[in-house]
Amino acid sequence: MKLEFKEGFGLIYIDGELEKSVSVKRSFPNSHPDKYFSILNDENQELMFIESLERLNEGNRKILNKYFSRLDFKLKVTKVFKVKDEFGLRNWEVETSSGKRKFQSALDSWPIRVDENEFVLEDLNGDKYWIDLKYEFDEESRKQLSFYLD
Amino acid sequence: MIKENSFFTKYLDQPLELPAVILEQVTENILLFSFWDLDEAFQFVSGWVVLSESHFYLFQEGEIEVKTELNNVKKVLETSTSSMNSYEFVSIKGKFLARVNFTNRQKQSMSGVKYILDELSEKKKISSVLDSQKVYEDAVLRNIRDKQNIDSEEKLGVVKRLLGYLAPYKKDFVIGAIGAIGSTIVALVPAYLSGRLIDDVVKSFQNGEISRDKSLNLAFTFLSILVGIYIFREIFRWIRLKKMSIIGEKVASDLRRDLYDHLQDLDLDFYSKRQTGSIISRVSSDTDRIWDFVAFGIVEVGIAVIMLICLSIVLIALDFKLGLLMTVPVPLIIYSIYLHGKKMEKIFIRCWRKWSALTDVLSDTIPGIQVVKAFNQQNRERKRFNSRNEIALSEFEKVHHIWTKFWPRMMMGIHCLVLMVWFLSLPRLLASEGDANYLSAGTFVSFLLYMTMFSQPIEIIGQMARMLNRATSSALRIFEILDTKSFIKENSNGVEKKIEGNIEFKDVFFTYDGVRQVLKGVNLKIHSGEMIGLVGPSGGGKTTISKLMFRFYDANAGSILIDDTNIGELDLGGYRSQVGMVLQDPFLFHGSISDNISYGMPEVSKLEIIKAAKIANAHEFIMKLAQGYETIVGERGQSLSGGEKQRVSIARAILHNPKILILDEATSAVDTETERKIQEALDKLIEGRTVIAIAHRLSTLRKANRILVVKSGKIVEEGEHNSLMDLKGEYFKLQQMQNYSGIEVTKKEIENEVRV
Repeated sequence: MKLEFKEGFGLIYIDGELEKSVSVKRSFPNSHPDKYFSILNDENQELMFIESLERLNEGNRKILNKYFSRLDFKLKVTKVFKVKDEFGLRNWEVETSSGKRKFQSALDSWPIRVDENEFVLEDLNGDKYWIDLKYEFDEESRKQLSFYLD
Repeated sequence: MIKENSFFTKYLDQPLELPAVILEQVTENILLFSFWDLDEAFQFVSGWVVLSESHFYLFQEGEIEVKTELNNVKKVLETSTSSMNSYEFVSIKGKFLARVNFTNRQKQSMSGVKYILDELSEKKKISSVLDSQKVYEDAVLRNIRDKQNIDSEEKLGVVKRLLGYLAPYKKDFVIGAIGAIGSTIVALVPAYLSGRLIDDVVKSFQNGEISRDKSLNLAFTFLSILVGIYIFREIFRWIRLKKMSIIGEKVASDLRRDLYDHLQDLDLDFYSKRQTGSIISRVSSDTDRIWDFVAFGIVEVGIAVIMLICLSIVLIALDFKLGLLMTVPVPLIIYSIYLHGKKMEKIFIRCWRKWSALTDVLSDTIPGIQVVKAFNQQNRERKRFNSRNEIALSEFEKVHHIWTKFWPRMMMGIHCLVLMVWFLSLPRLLASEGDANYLSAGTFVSFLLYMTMFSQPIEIIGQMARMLNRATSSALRIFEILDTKSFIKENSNGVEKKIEGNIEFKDVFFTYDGVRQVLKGVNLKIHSGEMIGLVGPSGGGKTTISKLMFRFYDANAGSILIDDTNIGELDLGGYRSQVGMVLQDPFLFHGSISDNISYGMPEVSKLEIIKAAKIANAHEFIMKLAQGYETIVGERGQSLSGGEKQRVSIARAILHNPKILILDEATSAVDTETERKIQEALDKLIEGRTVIAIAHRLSTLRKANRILVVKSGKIVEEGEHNSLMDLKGEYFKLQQMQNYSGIEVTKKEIENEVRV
């Protein structure tokens, strides 16, 4: 089995004469990002299951790491300017790893703890915002976040 | 109406429309456009994809990145992660054209672009009448609009419109307002009289200025006036409370009536775009909030403002300096109460969150108690609940800690003012009467009594902003529905006639979202009394065809004829009463089985109901129930199995006696024996009617005269079972798939069953 990355075609899985455009899904994206992957074809059928990145040869590992670098993109909150409740929704004005962002969450939608130091908040459109407790937030941001995190 | 521009600025920081700099570069007619917001380094960026009639454009920060002919884009490759989506555009020669990254906020509008490109690459016809601006706005705002529809600039208009609902009750409102003003002004008198009583009676008697008898007479007069004042005050208060609370109920009831009335007229399109809970809360909790606002909010705030103004005037009039001392800090006190309210709101968020974590355990374990017990996990669940209970308790303790600290401090501040009044008054009280600074004991007592009346109106005004916000929000949520127009226009001169049941679709196109064509030029002709089977893969357009037959929606292009008359020219109510439907998941209303069978036909006799139930194979199971036909079903009623509900709905359709009958997967999701019973009932039901049966299980179409295969919005095959099998096309494939998956037993059995 060989993996290739082709612009315009994405990740390509080559096994003998078989050449397919594939995607890779992690079984435990938060707790074990380097283990337990499924290689899926365009109909989401599993072509192969990989227990660990370490089991792959260096070439395939490099390709998958490149693939994951896109997959791992997260909107990480780095500063909180304002959080304001309105009738029906909660307005957030934040700075993220991608720049400033205004977004809205449901009033009963709270950040969910995904591991010991990380929370994820989903907005009304399904965009996820990651809050890392280890990040050095300014005092005002910490104060604002304190109402929403444990 | 809502100003979309302010929504985009307030909530999204995203352009409402294509910037002028882009419009200058796209000279052709624009089919569709979408915003994309992440660059290659995943930084937020302002990008646009524009599809014109002939070209594909990609812009980043106003600069053109890609311009190519529309038919040069062969493929759009999609990848998605939890935070980001990517489209890679590939040319007809397999060359990489461009990649755009975007957040989920843009997903709906970007998927419209992908859809159009996919359709074009398959050489399919695209509607040139897309309202690209509306499609973009709807796609980006849909989730926010469902939660919030307030534009702060509109609040004044909303209050005005809400007050318009008071117009029919003008007389009662004026009486209520007189009661409110009367009780407020009258409430000021006792303090004044008390002062006068001390100065004119007590002090005059003590000074020997009047005799004991005269002072007693005077005191009696004062007390009688006080009794009268108190009686008047309570009469005014009674008038106010009675009138205003009843007006509040009437306004809320009028709003509920208008809202429900309007909801009955709205299209299915409206319901499909909103959550049921959101609509129900507008009829229930939002109208309830309006009642609260009209009955108490307006009046309480009005009284508080009047009271505060009157008190300030009276205090300053009684004694200018002391009056100023008391009134100048009032705005500061109101502001600090307002700030405290804001702080408490934030603190309550934590409480709410912990409370919600606690109730999550309940909603997990109570419905799943069987699993908890089966796995012997009671102790684990106890621990989970207790730990969250303790966390919630600790948060509530914090709340009590804060408010219990605030109010004593606030009151201490007010007490300080009182002490200052004492401090400044004492030398003046002790001064001789001729002194310019002299303050009489009576005036001082009046002053003290007025001061005690200050705190309540201050508190109410401090909470006014929140109260007004909640009421205007509720009102706007209600008005938003009232302002929604129905796209299905009832023809006031509609033809009322008995239909025979001939149906014809002529080149019918239909889209739910303005972009994706669900039906793409459907042509079909069904004769009266014919039974037609509609088969095909899910999402192909079968159910949409049936919805158009019911005129739940109007076609975007083409025409639908019923007995050679355009469906739009028929009287809508009269037409729908001659069309019946049996759905896969039948809906029973809360009420008796009998009421459910005779729904919409209250005049039918009990015997007719029983007859319909017998034909529907429902009589037998109904008679096994303790209350027979009077058994209450629906929400909070007796639960019936899927097959039983289905037979009740068939009995309903039999009694309704429609000329056109639509069966939408009526026998799926039931066991074989139930299916047999339902099928028997359906066989009796379809006699003498035009029947359109949508089915996945092809064996249920054994009585169909013709079968139409619907795929990707088109009728791709049409004919009898045998001829379709001979074609070895889509229908054949469907049969093969069902045989293979074991849904049908053997091909031979199908051939025997599906007789055309």
